[in-house]
Amino acid sequence: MNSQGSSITIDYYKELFGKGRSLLKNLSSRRVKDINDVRETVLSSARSGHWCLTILVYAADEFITNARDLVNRASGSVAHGRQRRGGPGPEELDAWIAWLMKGVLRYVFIAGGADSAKWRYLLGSSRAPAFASRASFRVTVRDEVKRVIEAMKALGAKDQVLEQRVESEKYLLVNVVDCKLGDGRWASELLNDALQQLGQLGLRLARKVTLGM
Amino acid sequence: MSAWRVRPVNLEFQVLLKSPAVTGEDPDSSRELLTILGFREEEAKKSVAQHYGLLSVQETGFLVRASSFKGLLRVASEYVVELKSLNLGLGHAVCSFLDIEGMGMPKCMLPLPLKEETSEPLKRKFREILERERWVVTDNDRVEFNNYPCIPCSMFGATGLRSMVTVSFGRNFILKVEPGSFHRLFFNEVMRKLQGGDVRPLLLHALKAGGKIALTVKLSSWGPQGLRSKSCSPHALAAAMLWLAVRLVNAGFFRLGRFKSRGLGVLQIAPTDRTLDTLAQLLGVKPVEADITSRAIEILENELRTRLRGIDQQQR
Repeated sequence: MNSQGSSITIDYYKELFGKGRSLLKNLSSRRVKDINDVRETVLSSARSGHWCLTILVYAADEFITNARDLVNRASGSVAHGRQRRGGPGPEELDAWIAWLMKGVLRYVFIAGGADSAKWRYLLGSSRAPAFASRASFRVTVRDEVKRVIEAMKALGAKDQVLEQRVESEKYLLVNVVDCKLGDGRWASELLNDALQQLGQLGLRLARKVTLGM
Repeated sequence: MSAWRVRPVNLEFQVLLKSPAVTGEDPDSSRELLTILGFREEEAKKSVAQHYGLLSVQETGFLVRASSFKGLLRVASEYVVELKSLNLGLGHAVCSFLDIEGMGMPKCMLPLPLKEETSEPLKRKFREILERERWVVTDNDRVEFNNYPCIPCSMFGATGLRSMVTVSFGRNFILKVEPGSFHRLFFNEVMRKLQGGDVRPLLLHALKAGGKIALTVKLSSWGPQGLRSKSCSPHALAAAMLWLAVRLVNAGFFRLGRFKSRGLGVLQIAPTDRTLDTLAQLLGVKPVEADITSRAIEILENELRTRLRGIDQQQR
Protein backbone atom coordinates (compact mmCIF):
# COMPACT_ATOMS: atom_id res chain seq x y z
CA MET A 1 0.00 0.00 0.00
CA ASN A 2 1.14 3.49 -0.72
CA SER A 3 1.63 4.87 2.76
CA GLN A 4 1.74 8.45 1.49
CA GLY A 5 -1.62 8.07 -0.27
CA SER A 6 -3.11 6.52 2.84
CA SER A 7 -1.85 9.38 4.98
CA ILE A 8 -3.35 11.95 2.63
CA THR A 9 -6.70 10.19 2.88
CA ILE A 10 -6.62 10.06 6.66
CA ASP A 11 -5.68 13.74 6.80
CA TYR A 12 -8.61 14.46 4.54
CA TYR A 13 -10.97 12.47 6.78
CA LYS A 14 -9.64 14.31 9.82
CA GLU A 15 -10.20 17.67 8.17
CA LEU A 16 -13.72 16.65 7.19
CA PHE A 17 -14.45 15.43 10.69
CA GLY A 18 -13.12 18.61 12.29
CA LYS A 19 -15.21 20.87 10.06
CA GLY A 20 -18.30 18.77 10.65
CA ARG A 21 -17.92 18.72 14.43
CA SER A 22 -17.64 22.47 14.63
CA LEU A 23 -20.76 22.94 12.53
CA LEU A 24 -22.81 20.20 14.16
CA LYS A 25 -23.86 22.39 17.07
CA ASN A 26 -25.56 24.85 14.74
CA LEU A 27 -28.11 22.35 13.53
CA SER A 28 -31.58 23.19 14.76
CA SER A 29 -34.95 21.56 15.24
CA ARG A 30 -35.99 22.89 11.84
CA ARG A 31 -34.57 19.65 10.53
CA VAL A 32 -37.72 17.61 11.10
CA LYS A 33 -39.91 20.14 9.31
CA ASP A 34 -37.46 20.29 6.42
CA ILE A 35 -37.41 16.52 6.08
CA ASN A 36 -41.20 16.46 6.06
CA ASP A 37 -41.15 19.00 3.25
CA VAL A 38 -38.73 16.82 1.29
CA ARG A 39 -40.92 13.80 1.97
CA GLU A 40 -43.93 15.61 0.51
CA THR A 41 -41.89 16.50 -2.57
CA VAL A 42 -40.82 12.88 -2.97
CA LEU A 43 -44.41 11.67 -2.62
CA SER A 44 -45.64 14.03 -5.31
CA SER A 45 -42.68 12.94 -7.42
CA ALA A 46 -43.76 9.32 -6.98
CA ARG A 47 -47.32 10.20 -7.94
CA SER A 48 -45.98 11.66 -11.18
CA GLY A 49 -44.06 8.45 -11.84
CA HIS A 50 -40.68 10.07 -11.16
CA TRP A 51 -39.49 7.23 -9.05
CA CYS A 52 -37.23 4.23 -9.68
CA LEU A 53 -34.34 2.17 -8.37
CA THR A 54 -30.82 3.10 -9.39
CA ILE A 55 -27.59 1.30 -8.81
CA LEU A 56 -24.30 3.16 -9.10
CA VAL A 57 -21.16 1.07 -9.45
CA TYR A 58 -17.79 2.60 -8.58
CA ALA A 59 -14.40 1.08 -9.28
CA ALA A 60 -12.97 1.49 -5.81
CA ASP A 61 -9.81 -0.53 -5.25
CA GLU A 62 -7.81 2.44 -4.00
CA PHE A 63 -10.61 3.68 -1.79
CA ILE A 64 -11.18 0.28 -0.21
CA THR A 65 -7.47 -0.24 0.40
CA ASN A 66 -7.21 3.12 2.16
CA ALA A 67 -10.43 2.61 4.08
CA ARG A 68 -9.24 -0.79 5.31
CA ASP A 69 -6.12 0.85 6.63
CA LEU A 70 -8.19 3.50 8.36
CA VAL A 71 -10.50 0.98 10.00
CA ASN A 72 -7.64 -1.28 11.05
CA ARG A 73 -5.88 1.61 12.73
CA ALA A 74 -9.02 2.58 14.62
CA SER A 75 -10.15 -0.90 15.59
CA GLY A 76 -6.81 -2.43 16.53
CA SER A 77 -7.03 -1.72 20.22
CA VAL A 78 -10.76 -1.33 20.76
CA ALA A 79 -11.98 -3.47 23.61
CA HIS A 80 -15.46 -4.80 23.32
CA GLY A 81 -17.39 -6.87 25.79
CA ARG A 82 -15.00 -8.90 27.91
CA GLN A 83 -12.85 -9.99 25.05
CA ARG A 84 -10.13 -8.47 22.99
CA ARG A 85 -9.59 -9.59 19.50
CA GLY A 86 -7.59 -8.80 16.41
CA GLY A 87 -8.82 -6.86 13.43
CA PRO A 88 -12.01 -7.85 11.65
CA GLY A 89 -11.94 -10.43 8.85
CA PRO A 90 -12.09 -9.35 5.20
CA GLU A 91 -15.88 -9.72 4.84
CA GLU A 92 -16.55 -7.83 8.07
CA LEU A 93 -14.18 -5.14 6.92
CA ASP A 94 -15.96 -4.73 3.60
CA ALA A 95 -19.36 -4.46 5.28
CA TRP A 96 -17.91 -1.99 7.74
CA ILE A 97 -16.32 0.13 5.02
CA ALA A 98 -19.58 0.26 3.08
CA TRP A 99 -21.29 1.53 6.21
CA LEU A 100 -18.57 4.07 6.97
CA MET A 101 -19.17 5.52 3.52
CA LYS A 102 -22.52 6.79 4.74
CA GLY A 103 -20.86 8.43 7.71
CA VAL A 104 -18.33 10.10 5.43
CA LEU A 105 -21.12 11.45 3.20
CA ARG A 106 -23.02 12.70 6.22
CA TYR A 107 -19.97 14.69 7.27
CA VAL A 108 -19.48 15.92 3.70
CA PHE A 109 -22.82 17.66 3.76
CA ILE A 110 -22.46 18.90 7.32
CA ALA A 111 -18.97 20.22 6.60
CA GLY A 112 -20.41 21.94 3.53
CA GLY A 113 -22.11 24.27 5.99
CA ALA A 114 -25.69 23.37 5.14
CA ASP A 115 -28.02 21.00 6.89
CA SER A 116 -29.75 19.85 3.76
CA ALA A 117 -32.86 17.86 4.48
CA LYS A 118 -32.37 16.08 1.18
CA TRP A 119 -29.31 14.42 2.60
CA ARG A 120 -31.09 13.45 5.77
CA TYR A 121 -33.84 11.93 3.68
CA LEU A 122 -31.35 9.94 1.63
CA LEU A 123 -29.05 8.76 4.39
CA GLY A 124 -31.68 8.33 7.08
CA SER A 125 -32.44 9.93 10.37
CA SER A 126 -33.34 8.37 13.67
CA ARG A 127 -36.20 10.82 14.22
CA ALA A 128 -38.98 8.69 12.73
CA PRO A 129 -39.33 5.40 10.86
CA ALA A 130 -40.42 7.32 7.77
CA PHE A 131 -36.89 8.71 7.64
CA ALA A 132 -35.29 5.34 7.01
CA SER A 133 -32.30 5.38 4.74
CA ARG A 134 -32.95 5.41 1.00
CA ALA A 135 -29.41 4.62 -0.03
CA SER A 136 -27.26 1.66 0.80
CA PHE A 137 -23.63 0.91 0.11
CA ARG A 138 -21.95 -2.39 -0.54
CA VAL A 139 -18.43 -3.47 -1.28
CA THR A 140 -18.24 -6.33 -3.74
CA VAL A 141 -16.04 -8.14 -6.21
CA ARG A 142 -16.31 -7.89 -9.98
CA ASP A 143 -18.13 -11.17 -10.65
CA GLU A 144 -20.88 -10.25 -8.26
CA VAL A 145 -21.25 -6.85 -9.90
CA LYS A 146 -21.73 -8.63 -13.22
CA ARG A 147 -24.44 -10.84 -11.74
CA VAL A 148 -26.22 -7.86 -10.21
CA ILE A 149 -26.19 -5.94 -13.48
CA GLU A 150 -27.38 -8.96 -15.47
CA ALA A 151 -30.27 -9.44 -13.02
CA MET A 152 -31.21 -5.76 -13.22
CA LYS A 153 -31.06 -5.78 -17.01
CA ALA A 154 -33.27 -8.84 -17.06
CA LEU A 155 -35.83 -6.88 -15.06
CA GLY A 156 -35.80 -4.20 -17.72
CA ALA A 157 -33.17 -1.88 -16.31
CA LYS A 158 -31.48 0.76 -18.37
CA ASP A 159 -27.76 0.09 -18.20
CA GLN A 160 -25.85 3.26 -18.87
CA VAL A 161 -22.21 2.35 -19.24
CA LEU A 162 -20.33 5.49 -18.28
CA GLU A 163 -16.90 4.10 -17.90
CA GLN A 164 -15.36 0.70 -17.40
CA ARG A 165 -12.15 -0.27 -15.70
CA VAL A 166 -11.95 -3.99 -15.98
CA GLU A 167 -8.69 -4.47 -14.18
CA SER A 168 -10.11 -3.35 -10.85
CA GLU A 169 -10.93 -6.14 -8.45
CA LYS A 170 -13.29 -4.45 -6.01
CA TYR A 171 -16.32 -2.27 -6.48
CA LEU A 172 -18.54 -0.08 -4.35
CA LEU A 173 -22.22 -0.57 -5.13
CA VAL A 174 -24.61 2.20 -4.15
CA ASN A 175 -28.28 1.31 -4.29
CA VAL A 176 -30.58 4.30 -4.31
CA VAL A 177 -34.34 4.58 -4.10
CA ASP A 178 -34.27 7.22 -6.79
CA CYS A 179 -36.64 10.15 -6.94
CA LYS A 180 -36.70 13.83 -7.74
CA LEU A 181 -35.80 15.96 -4.77
CA GLY A 182 -37.48 19.30 -5.23
CA ASP A 183 -35.16 21.20 -7.51
CA GLY A 184 -35.58 18.72 -10.35
CA ARG A 185 -32.47 16.80 -9.43
CA TRP A 186 -32.48 13.05 -8.91
CA ALA A 187 -31.27 11.52 -5.66
CA SER A 188 -28.69 9.47 -7.55
CA GLU A 189 -27.28 12.66 -9.11
CA LEU A 190 -26.90 14.21 -5.69
CA LEU A 191 -25.05 11.16 -4.37
CA ASN A 192 -22.89 10.84 -7.45
CA ASP A 193 -21.85 14.49 -7.30
CA ALA A 194 -20.83 14.11 -3.67
CA LEU A 195 -18.87 10.93 -4.35
CA GLN A 196 -17.13 12.50 -7.33
CA GLN A 197 -16.13 15.43 -5.11
CA LEU A 198 -14.30 12.90 -2.97
CA GLY A 199 -11.95 12.34 -5.89
CA GLN A 200 -8.97 11.80 -3.65
CA LEU A 201 -10.63 8.70 -2.22
CA GLY A 202 -10.12 7.04 -5.60
CA LEU A 203 -13.72 6.42 -6.56
CA ARG A 204 -14.62 6.26 -10.23
CA LEU A 205 -18.13 5.73 -11.55
CA ALA A 206 -18.14 2.56 -13.66
CA ARG A 207 -21.80 1.80 -14.34
CA LYS A 208 -25.23 3.26 -13.72
CA VAL A 209 -28.26 1.00 -13.90
CA THR A 210 -31.84 2.18 -13.49
CA LEU A 211 -34.89 0.03 -12.92
CA GLY A 212 -38.25 1.65 -13.39
CA MET A 213 -39.33 4.78 -15.24
CA MET B 1 -59.70 -29.93 -11.37
CA SER B 2 -61.57 -27.53 -9.12
CA ALA B 3 -59.80 -24.32 -8.30
CA TRP B 4 -60.25 -25.17 -4.64
CA ARG B 5 -58.34 -28.45 -5.00
CA VAL B 6 -55.29 -27.45 -6.96
CA ARG B 7 -52.25 -29.35 -5.83
CA PRO B 8 -49.86 -27.22 -3.75
CA VAL B 9 -46.44 -26.48 -5.24
CA ASN B 10 -43.22 -26.58 -3.26
CA LEU B 11 -40.36 -24.36 -4.34
CA GLU B 12 -37.01 -25.07 -2.70
CA PHE B 13 -34.22 -22.54 -2.45
CA GLN B 14 -30.74 -22.40 -0.98
CA VAL B 15 -30.13 -19.17 0.88
CA LEU B 16 -26.50 -18.16 1.19
CA LEU B 17 -25.62 -15.49 3.74
CA LYS B 18 -23.27 -13.18 1.86
CA SER B 19 -22.71 -10.99 4.90
CA PRO B 20 -23.46 -11.39 8.62
CA ALA B 21 -27.13 -11.06 9.59
CA VAL B 22 -29.12 -10.22 12.71
CA THR B 23 -32.82 -11.00 12.65
CA GLY B 24 -35.86 -10.91 14.85
CA GLU B 25 -34.57 -9.03 17.86
CA ASP B 26 -35.82 -5.83 19.37
CA PRO B 27 -33.34 -3.78 21.43
CA ASP B 28 -35.05 -4.49 24.78
CA SER B 29 -35.05 -8.28 24.33
CA SER B 30 -31.48 -8.13 23.16
CA ARG B 31 -30.39 -6.17 26.23
CA GLU B 32 -32.22 -8.55 28.59
CA LEU B 33 -30.74 -11.56 26.86
CA LEU B 34 -27.20 -10.28 27.10
CA THR B 35 -27.70 -9.38 30.75
CA ILE B 36 -28.82 -12.96 31.40
CA LEU B 37 -25.75 -14.19 29.52
CA GLY B 38 -23.58 -12.30 31.99
CA PHE B 39 -22.79 -9.05 30.23
CA ARG B 40 -22.41 -5.96 32.39
CA GLU B 41 -25.34 -3.57 32.08
CA GLU B 42 -23.45 -0.86 30.22
CA GLU B 43 -22.13 -3.44 27.75
CA ALA B 44 -25.55 -4.98 27.23
CA LYS B 45 -26.97 -1.56 26.45
CA LYS B 46 -24.77 -1.13 23.45
CA SER B 47 -24.98 -4.63 22.10
CA VAL B 48 -27.34 -6.46 19.78
CA ALA B 49 -27.67 -10.22 19.73
CA GLN B 50 -29.17 -12.65 17.32
CA HIS B 51 -32.06 -14.40 19.06
CA TYR B 52 -30.95 -17.45 20.96
CA GLY B 53 -33.93 -19.66 21.53
CA LEU B 54 -34.94 -21.59 24.55
CA LEU B 55 -36.60 -23.58 21.79
CA SER B 56 -33.31 -24.40 20.16
CA VAL B 57 -33.17 -24.84 16.39
CA GLN B 58 -30.74 -27.55 15.33
CA GLU B 59 -27.50 -27.66 17.24
CA THR B 60 -26.69 -24.02 16.75
CA GLY B 61 -29.01 -22.81 19.43
CA PHE B 62 -30.20 -19.62 17.78
CA LEU B 63 -33.45 -18.80 16.12
CA VAL B 64 -34.03 -17.48 12.65
CA ARG B 65 -37.67 -17.03 11.89
CA ALA B 66 -39.06 -18.17 8.57
CA SER B 67 -41.43 -15.21 8.75
CA SER B 68 -38.40 -12.95 8.37
CA PHE B 69 -37.79 -14.50 4.97
CA LYS B 70 -41.46 -14.22 4.06
CA GLY B 71 -41.39 -10.53 4.97
CA LEU B 72 -38.30 -10.07 2.83
CA LEU B 73 -39.95 -11.74 -0.17
CA ARG B 74 -43.13 -9.75 0.35
CA VAL B 75 -41.47 -6.36 0.52
CA ALA B 76 -39.36 -7.14 -2.56
CA SER B 77 -42.50 -8.34 -4.37
CA GLU B 78 -44.37 -5.16 -3.48
CA TYR B 79 -41.51 -3.16 -4.86
CA VAL B 80 -41.24 -5.00 -8.14
CA VAL B 81 -45.01 -4.86 -8.75
CA GLU B 82 -45.19 -1.14 -7.98
CA LEU B 83 -42.12 -0.34 -10.07
CA LYS B 84 -43.42 -2.33 -13.01
CA SER B 85 -46.78 -0.58 -12.79
CA LEU B 86 -45.18 2.88 -12.67
CA ASN B 87 -42.93 1.80 -15.51
CA LEU B 88 -45.97 0.90 -17.63
CA GLY B 89 -47.63 4.22 -16.82
CA LEU B 90 -50.44 2.50 -14.91
CA GLY B 91 -50.02 4.38 -11.63
CA HIS B 92 -49.95 2.82 -8.20
CA ALA B 93 -50.62 -0.90 -8.02
CA VAL B 94 -49.76 -1.85 -4.43
CA CYS B 95 -51.75 -0.80 -1.37
CA SER B 96 -48.71 -0.13 0.80
CA PHE B 97 -47.66 2.62 -1.64
CA LEU B 98 -50.98 4.44 -1.51
CA ASP B 99 -50.78 7.90 -0.05
CA ILE B 100 -52.55 7.26 3.22
CA GLU B 101 -51.57 7.11 6.86
CA GLY B 102 -49.36 4.12 7.56
CA MET B 103 -47.65 4.31 4.21
CA GLY B 104 -45.45 1.29 3.72
CA MET B 105 -47.84 -1.11 5.42
CA PRO B 106 -50.26 -3.41 3.57
CA LYS B 107 -53.84 -2.15 3.86
CA CYS B 108 -56.11 -4.41 1.81
CA MET B 109 -58.80 -6.11 3.86
CA LEU B 110 -61.65 -8.45 3.08
CA PRO B 111 -64.48 -7.84 3.07
CA LEU B 112 -63.97 -4.25 1.98
CA PRO B 113 -65.97 -2.06 4.40
CA LEU B 114 -69.17 -0.89 2.77
CA LYS B 115 -69.76 2.84 2.53
CA GLU B 116 -72.26 2.86 5.34
CA GLU B 117 -69.83 0.91 7.53
CA THR B 118 -66.93 3.24 6.99
CA SER B 119 -67.53 5.42 9.99
CA GLU B 120 -63.89 5.39 11.03
CA PRO B 121 -62.08 8.27 9.35
CA LEU B 122 -59.15 6.09 8.30
CA LYS B 123 -61.35 3.43 6.71
CA ARG B 124 -63.38 6.12 5.00
CA LYS B 125 -60.26 7.74 3.60
CA PHE B 126 -58.97 4.36 2.42
CA ARG B 127 -62.26 3.69 0.65
CA GLU B 128 -62.16 7.13 -0.97
CA ILE B 129 -58.62 6.57 -2.21
CA LEU B 130 -59.53 3.16 -3.64
CA GLU B 131 -62.38 4.78 -5.55
CA ARG B 132 -60.28 7.74 -6.61
CA GLU B 133 -57.59 5.39 -7.95
CA ARG B 134 -60.46 3.36 -9.45
CA TRP B 135 -59.16 0.12 -7.94
CA VAL B 136 -62.74 -0.25 -6.75
CA VAL B 137 -65.63 1.10 -8.82
CA THR B 138 -69.08 1.46 -7.29
CA ASP B 139 -72.04 1.77 -9.62
CA ASN B 140 -75.31 1.80 -7.68
CA ASP B 141 -75.49 -1.65 -6.09
CA ARG B 142 -72.69 -3.05 -8.18
CA VAL B 143 -69.12 -3.01 -6.91
CA GLU B 144 -66.33 -3.82 -9.34
CA PHE B 145 -62.95 -4.83 -7.95
CA ASN B 146 -60.39 -3.90 -10.60
CA ASN B 147 -57.31 -4.11 -8.43
CA TYR B 148 -58.52 -5.22 -5.06
CA PRO B 149 -56.95 -6.90 -3.26
CA CYS B 150 -53.71 -5.74 -4.88
CA ILE B 151 -51.34 -8.36 -6.29
CA PRO B 152 -49.01 -8.75 -3.25
CA CYS B 153 -51.99 -8.94 -0.86
CA SER B 154 -53.63 -11.50 -3.16
CA MET B 155 -50.54 -13.68 -2.93
CA PHE B 156 -49.15 -13.02 0.55
CA GLY B 157 -52.48 -12.53 2.26
CA ALA B 158 -54.36 -9.67 3.86
CA THR B 159 -56.82 -9.22 6.67
CA GLY B 160 -59.55 -11.70 5.80
CA LEU B 161 -57.63 -13.41 3.02
CA ARG B 162 -55.37 -16.32 3.80
CA SER B 163 -51.87 -16.22 2.37
CA MET B 164 -51.21 -18.41 -0.63
CA VAL B 165 -47.49 -18.36 0.10
CA THR B 166 -46.05 -20.27 3.06
CA VAL B 167 -42.39 -20.06 3.91
CA SER B 168 -40.63 -22.67 6.02
CA PHE B 169 -37.16 -24.06 6.50
CA GLY B 170 -35.95 -27.24 4.91
CA ARG B 171 -35.08 -30.18 7.11
CA ASN B 172 -31.48 -29.22 7.64
CA PHE B 173 -29.20 -26.30 7.32
CA ILE B 174 -27.21 -27.08 4.22
CA LEU B 175 -24.10 -25.55 5.71
CA LYS B 176 -23.86 -24.94 9.41
CA VAL B 177 -24.84 -21.37 10.19
CA GLU B 178 -22.68 -20.11 13.00
CA PRO B 179 -23.05 -17.07 15.19
CA GLY B 180 -20.13 -14.76 15.67
CA SER B 181 -19.49 -11.47 17.40
CA PHE B 182 -17.91 -8.33 16.04
CA HIS B 183 -18.04 -4.65 16.60
CA ARG B 184 -18.84 -1.61 14.51
CA LEU B 185 -17.67 1.97 14.98
CA PHE B 186 -19.45 4.93 13.43
CA PHE B 187 -17.38 7.17 11.21
CA ASN B 188 -17.16 9.81 13.94
CA GLU B 189 -16.02 7.13 16.42
CA VAL B 190 -13.30 5.97 14.03
CA MET B 191 -12.06 9.54 13.84
CA ARG B 192 -12.27 10.05 17.60
CA LYS B 193 -10.27 6.86 18.09
CA LEU B 194 -7.63 8.00 15.61
CA GLN B 195 -7.37 11.26 17.52
CA GLY B 196 -6.77 9.37 20.75
CA GLY B 197 -10.28 9.57 22.18
CA ASP B 198 -12.09 6.77 23.95
CA VAL B 199 -14.97 5.05 22.15
CA ARG B 200 -17.34 2.24 22.89
CA PRO B 201 -18.27 0.32 19.74
CA LEU B 202 -21.55 -1.37 18.98
CA LEU B 203 -21.16 -5.08 19.64
CA LEU B 204 -23.11 -7.38 17.34
CA HIS B 205 -23.74 -11.07 17.84
CA ALA B 206 -24.81 -12.09 14.36
CA LEU B 207 -25.04 -15.05 12.08
CA LYS B 208 -21.73 -15.33 10.28
CA ALA B 209 -21.43 -14.91 6.54
CA GLY B 210 -21.09 -18.08 4.52
CA GLY B 211 -23.87 -20.11 6.11
CA LYS B 212 -26.49 -21.72 3.93
CA ILE B 213 -30.12 -22.23 4.83
CA ALA B 214 -32.64 -24.44 3.06
CA LEU B 215 -35.85 -22.52 2.40
CA THR B 216 -39.13 -23.97 1.19
CA VAL B 217 -41.77 -21.72 -0.33
CA LYS B 218 -45.10 -23.47 -0.65
CA LEU B 219 -47.79 -22.17 -2.99
CA SER B 220 -51.02 -23.57 -1.60
CA SER B 221 -54.31 -24.12 -3.38
CA TRP B 222 -55.75 -20.74 -4.13
CA GLY B 223 -59.50 -20.71 -3.48
CA PRO B 224 -61.61 -18.48 -5.73
CA GLN B 225 -59.29 -17.41 -8.55
CA GLY B 226 -60.74 -13.90 -8.88
CA LEU B 227 -59.37 -13.02 -5.49
CA ARG B 228 -55.86 -13.97 -6.57
CA SER B 229 -55.31 -13.21 -10.24
CA LYS B 230 -57.20 -12.09 -13.34
CA SER B 231 -55.09 -12.94 -16.37
CA CYS B 232 -53.46 -16.28 -15.52
CA SER B 233 -53.46 -18.97 -12.86
CA PRO B 234 -52.63 -17.73 -9.35
CA HIS B 235 -49.68 -20.14 -9.16
CA ALA B 236 -48.20 -18.71 -12.35
CA LEU B 237 -48.60 -15.15 -11.07
CA ALA B 238 -47.11 -16.05 -7.67
CA ALA B 239 -44.19 -17.84 -9.32
CA ALA B 240 -43.55 -14.87 -11.62
CA MET B 241 -43.68 -12.34 -8.83
CA LEU B 242 -41.52 -14.39 -6.46
CA TRP B 243 -38.95 -15.05 -9.15
CA LEU B 244 -38.62 -11.33 -9.90
CA ALA B 245 -38.53 -10.52 -6.18
CA VAL B 246 -35.69 -12.98 -5.71
CA ARG B 247 -33.79 -11.19 -8.51
CA LEU B 248 -34.04 -7.95 -6.54
CA VAL B 249 -32.96 -9.62 -3.30
CA ASN B 250 -29.97 -11.16 -5.07
CA ALA B 251 -29.13 -7.76 -6.52
CA GLY B 252 -28.79 -6.51 -2.95
CA PHE B 253 -31.70 -4.07 -2.93
CA PHE B 254 -33.43 -5.95 -0.16
CA ARG B 255 -31.62 -7.47 2.77
CA LEU B 256 -32.55 -9.51 5.80
CA GLY B 257 -32.92 -8.40 9.39
CA ARG B 258 -31.42 -5.42 11.15
CA PHE B 259 -28.49 -3.10 10.42
CA LYS B 260 -28.98 -3.46 6.71
CA SER B 261 -27.39 -0.13 5.96
CA ARG B 262 -24.30 -1.35 7.79
CA GLY B 263 -23.83 -4.10 5.24
CA LEU B 264 -25.62 -6.85 7.13
CA GLY B 265 -28.20 -9.26 5.76
CA VAL B 266 -27.05 -9.58 2.14
CA LEU B 267 -28.42 -12.82 0.72
CA GLN B 268 -28.16 -14.92 -2.38
CA ILE B 269 -31.29 -17.01 -2.96
CA ALA B 270 -30.73 -19.79 -5.49
CA PRO B 271 -33.37 -22.25 -6.67
CA THR B 272 -32.59 -25.95 -6.70
CA ASP B 273 -32.59 -27.66 -10.11
CA ARG B 274 -35.94 -29.25 -9.33
CA THR B 275 -37.41 -25.87 -8.41
CA LEU B 276 -36.12 -24.37 -11.64
CA ASP B 277 -37.99 -27.12 -13.51
CA THR B 278 -41.14 -26.47 -11.47
CA LEU B 279 -40.98 -22.73 -12.09
CA ALA B 280 -40.42 -23.29 -15.80
CA GLN B 281 -43.38 -25.63 -15.89
CA LEU B 282 -45.62 -23.13 -14.07
CA LEU B 283 -44.61 -20.34 -16.42
CA GLY B 284 -44.58 -22.48 -19.56
CA VAL B 285 -40.97 -22.00 -20.63
CA LYS B 286 -37.68 -23.93 -20.70
CA PRO B 287 -35.88 -24.26 -17.35
CA VAL B 288 -33.38 -21.53 -18.20
CA GLU B 289 -33.08 -18.54 -15.87
CA ALA B 290 -33.19 -15.93 -18.65
CA ASP B 291 -36.33 -17.49 -20.18
CA ILE B 292 -38.03 -17.71 -16.80
CA THR B 293 -37.26 -14.05 -16.09
CA SER B 294 -38.60 -12.88 -19.48
CA ARG B 295 -41.78 -14.88 -19.06
CA ALA B 296 -42.21 -13.70 -15.46
CA ILE B 297 -42.01 -10.07 -16.60
CA GLU B 298 -44.53 -10.79 -19.34
CA ILE B 299 -46.97 -12.43 -16.91
CA LEU B 300 -46.71 -9.60 -14.40
CA GLU B 301 -47.18 -6.95 -17.08
CA ASN B 302 -50.26 -8.75 -18.46
CA GLU B 303 -51.77 -8.98 -15.00
CA LEU B 304 -51.13 -5.31 -14.29
CA ARG B 305 -52.62 -4.27 -17.64
CA THR B 306 -55.69 -6.44 -17.03
CA ARG B 307 -56.20 -4.87 -13.63
CA LEU B 308 -55.23 -1.28 -14.37
CA ARG B 309 -55.26 -0.50 -18.10
CA GLY B 310 -59.01 0.12 -18.19
CA ILE B 311 -58.56 2.45 -15.26
CA ASP B 312 -55.70 4.24 -16.95
CA GLN B 313 -57.72 4.82 -20.14
CA GLN B 314 -60.70 6.14 -18.20
CA GLN B 315 -58.49 8.55 -16.26
CA ARG B 316 -56.83 9.80 -19.40
